[in-house]
Amino acid sequence: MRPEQKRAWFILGICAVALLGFVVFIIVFKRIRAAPFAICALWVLEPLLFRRKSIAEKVSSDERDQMIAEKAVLFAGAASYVTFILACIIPWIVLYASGAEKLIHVDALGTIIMAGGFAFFVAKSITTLVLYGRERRDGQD
Amino acid sequence: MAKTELKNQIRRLRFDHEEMTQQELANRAGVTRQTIIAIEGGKYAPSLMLAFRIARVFSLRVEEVFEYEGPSASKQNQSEST
Repeated sequence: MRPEQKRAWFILGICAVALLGFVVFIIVFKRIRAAPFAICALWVLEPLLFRRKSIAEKVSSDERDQMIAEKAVLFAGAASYVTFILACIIPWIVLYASGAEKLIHVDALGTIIMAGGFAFFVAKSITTLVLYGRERRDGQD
Repeated sequence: MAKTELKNQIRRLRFDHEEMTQQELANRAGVTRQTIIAIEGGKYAPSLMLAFRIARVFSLRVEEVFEYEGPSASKQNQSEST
């Protein structure tokens, strides 16, 4: 497994824990809080955890890795944009289209912004894993 | 990544060159082993520079290592004109 794939799994794991915490907050405390996303600060450990170890492998990355990284960022940017737009629109549709006279809590703003960033990293990790994963069936020495 | 229209002889050439490993070829071409695996399997079309570097490892010309399987330019021109 390449370091890029390990990084992607690491980020997806952290995102899963953060999302779980977010859902627990909604169910238990009945409130939308961005606090569980603080666990994403663990990403700072990423460069320390996934360093190249193989001595036989002289090259750590090449044009194909660069191409996958570019595609992943492009896809993640699109996913982040769509998520942000949806996160902005959906609360208004839910509250006002239904005729309800309610206000959106100020805490929701942080969550909406966080959702865009969150979607970026999740989409980037998934795209990276999908693009690298295609080679798994190929023959190796 | 979808299969490319670029056929290659890398696997055969590796075995002809004293059973060169994918890692050895990768080191000599300046790429990762995974890229060699993807190129061999036809999953990735290398850049022109990388194709030249791989061909140079085997002391061959690019067209002796890689072969384009898509429609020829003359055929494409004919279909466009009709």
